[in-house]
Amino acid sequence: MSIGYLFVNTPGIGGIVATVVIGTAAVIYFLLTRWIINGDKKEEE
Amino acid sequence: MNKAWHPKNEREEIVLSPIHAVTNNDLWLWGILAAILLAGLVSWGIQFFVTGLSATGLNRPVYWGLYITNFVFFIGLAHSGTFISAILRLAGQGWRKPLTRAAEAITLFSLPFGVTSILIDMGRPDRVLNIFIYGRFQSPLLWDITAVSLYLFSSVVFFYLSLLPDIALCRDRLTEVPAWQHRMYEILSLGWTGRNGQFERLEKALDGMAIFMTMLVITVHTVVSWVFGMTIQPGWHTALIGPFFLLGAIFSGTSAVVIVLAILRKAYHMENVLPVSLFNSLRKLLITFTLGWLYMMIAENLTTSYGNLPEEMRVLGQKTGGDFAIMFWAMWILVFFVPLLIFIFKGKDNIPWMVGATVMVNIGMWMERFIVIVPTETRPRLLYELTKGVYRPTLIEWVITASLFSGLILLYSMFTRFFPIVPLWETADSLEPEENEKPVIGFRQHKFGATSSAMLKGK
Repeated sequence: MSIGYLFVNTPGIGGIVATVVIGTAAVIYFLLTRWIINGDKKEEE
Repeated sequence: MNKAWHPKNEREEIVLSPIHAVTNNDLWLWGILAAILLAGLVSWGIQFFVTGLSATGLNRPVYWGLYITNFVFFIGLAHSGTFISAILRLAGQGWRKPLTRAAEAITLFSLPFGVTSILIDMGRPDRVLNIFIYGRFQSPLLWDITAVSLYLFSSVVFFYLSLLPDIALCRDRLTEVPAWQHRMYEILSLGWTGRNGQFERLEKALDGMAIFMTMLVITVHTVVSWVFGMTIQPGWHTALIGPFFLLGAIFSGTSAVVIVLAILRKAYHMENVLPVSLFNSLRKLLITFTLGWLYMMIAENLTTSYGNLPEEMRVLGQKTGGDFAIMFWAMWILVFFVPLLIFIFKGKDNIPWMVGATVMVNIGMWMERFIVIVPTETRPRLLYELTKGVYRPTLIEWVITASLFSGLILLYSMFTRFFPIVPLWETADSLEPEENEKPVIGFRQHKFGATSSAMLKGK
């Protein structure tokens, strides 16, 4: 069986990918929000 | 705490006025909506703890009914915010600015009810975890839960980021509100001070997210349609189902924006903030969508009828002359014939006509979702030889449906009493701080070189 077949058909792998996608988005959005809030912070200080 | 700098907006007082006080009328409205919501909860409790899904009209071979219709409809409604905010943002349509938040709020509050509809339909909501534990990539249900979850999450972030400067404004301006409310603004504003760099980064982030959200909005409703389209059932197994769902979603979502804007305009006396020109701009879009819907309908049904495959024709017959004929033709009248006439001949500069037409569109689009889903199940491939399905929704299903819509209206109306429903920083008159407002670092220049008030006037 090819890796592609296993990736598509093995129970659980899809769930892991879904969790990784949503988890990655959470991290990116957190960093994005922090980046916006910190805009020009040094100048203000 | 030092107050932040906020761009000047001559409409600030009008936009903030609904936030100052919750009226008795609000409490009555919220009470009624909460009561309907409670009735839905009780009905769901009966379904969950006592009867199971036998409380519904679902039975072999009709496995999906009102709940899945609601799911598709709510997800479609949710496309309003992304369309107005993201797609029109990318297209550089400045007129959209006053209505972005009202549209985004529809997205934000309808998505959870779409997800809830799925959980209710499952009968055993705990089994949703099975998708994560045993999920396989070949399953469209997995694509669905991934796309919808990511869309919900991203919509919340997109909405929150664009709300940030206005939450800070509420924090600084609304000092007379209850302490808990003020504390809420303090926490949610994340220490926003209105620095030039913050605004610049915010606009960059929103521009970038607009591209991502546009991709996501197309993905989400296409994937929702593939839950049907990836089966080989007649009426569902067509490549057109994705674009058809997407167009319908944007159509019903944009129609919902018109209804919401008209209510906000009237209830909160925002005639100057939400001018008639906004409705005229939306009217042009809606004419396009109505014709697009007609095109999709003809393309789909003509292709099907020319093929004349027995399974397909049985489903088509159910729609055009069978059990669902009344609903099918009523849908045509509500979605296409009457609204198009109103949009073209009566809608210009006339908000009541626009509201009437868009209410019809939304009722019709809900019926369209039902028409797409149920007739196929009553005449499925293979099983048709064994049984003909019948589906009559029960009272419990109707009560739960009503409660979902009540919940959406309840959350929306509560939101308008605690946050500015028109984005003040995006529609600001002056983007330059006064001399006496220093030390503010620099000032913001509008990227298009025009003031927002000029954009409001459509210049």
